[in-house]
Amino acid sequence: MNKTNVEISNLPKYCNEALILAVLARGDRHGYQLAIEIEEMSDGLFKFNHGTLYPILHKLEKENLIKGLWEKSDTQRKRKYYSITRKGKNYFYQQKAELEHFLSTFIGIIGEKKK
Amino acid sequence: MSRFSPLLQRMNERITLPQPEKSRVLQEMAGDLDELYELYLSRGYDELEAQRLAEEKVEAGDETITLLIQLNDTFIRKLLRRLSELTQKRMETISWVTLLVLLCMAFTMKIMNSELISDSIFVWILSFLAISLFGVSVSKYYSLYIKKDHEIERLHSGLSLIFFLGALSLLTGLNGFFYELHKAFINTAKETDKMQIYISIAIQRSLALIAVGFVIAVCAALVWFIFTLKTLSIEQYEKSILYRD
Repeated sequence: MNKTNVEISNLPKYCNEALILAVLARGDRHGYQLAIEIEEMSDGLFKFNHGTLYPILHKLEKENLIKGLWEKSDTQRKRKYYSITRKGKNYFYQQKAELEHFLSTFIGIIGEKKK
Repeated sequence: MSRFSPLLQRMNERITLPQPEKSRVLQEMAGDLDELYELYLSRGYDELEAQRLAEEKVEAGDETITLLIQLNDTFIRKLLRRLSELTQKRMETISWVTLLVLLCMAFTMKIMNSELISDSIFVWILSFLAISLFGVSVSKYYSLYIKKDHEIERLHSGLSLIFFLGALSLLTGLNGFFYELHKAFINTAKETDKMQIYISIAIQRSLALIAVGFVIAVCAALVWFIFTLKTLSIEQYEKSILYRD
């Protein structure tokens, strides 16, 4: 893992992307489902209020990490749902490994300080 | 009208993206609003609270809107945005003026070399109308199809002018037709022996005037029709998204 994206400056953005990709790796979701699911899984720690979810989703879509598809709901309104791409899955596994490495190092240092 | 129409209307005004990108973003938000609302209702919230919670999730702040615009904007607009507003306006003005000057020069040269050259003032009026029509049409085309500056209140601007210029061209051609004939008959009365020459020249000029006027009017009508259809489709699209129950 020579080049890492996990840096303090872009950690929140990177974590948000990882959260979304992690949920999508389990199956296709609508935007709102992603927001609610992440919020509930984290007991309200990670919230996507005020439309913050959309730029992340659109960025991931532009980078071909996820794919947005349209379907018609029962009310005939068009609904967009997202699915993770092969590229997205590979990216997510790399992210996961990087975050694990980063967090274990981080916790290690905090642990050292406690001593 | 949907309960979320005011919010979507606000977002519509703030998201300065061309169609159809803007509609896609709004459509996605509208769908999520409905689903969230239903979800909160199913969880026992009353209608007002469910609406408030759904809106809280979806209504984007300034920073989010800026990010959305940057992500969804077209390549040309991204490029243009990189230049300052002033530079952009200056560049546009210079480009348009250069284009119009070149067109005027080309058109004038064509007129000077053609059969239409005459001392009739109507030729020059028609030329002016044709160039104006071309300029307005290109400008409108640019805003509708390339720059996609779809502000609802400005959508119809220029359409009436196109229609007016077309009608004026037809009337100018007709007027020129009668004027040239009238002038020929006055000359014929003075020199009866050259009657045939005067009449044939007058008919040639008059018919050319009316033909050119008619062609300009037909072009104007076509352009007006196409642009009107485009503006109507944009309006319909906006309405279908914002006011769907």
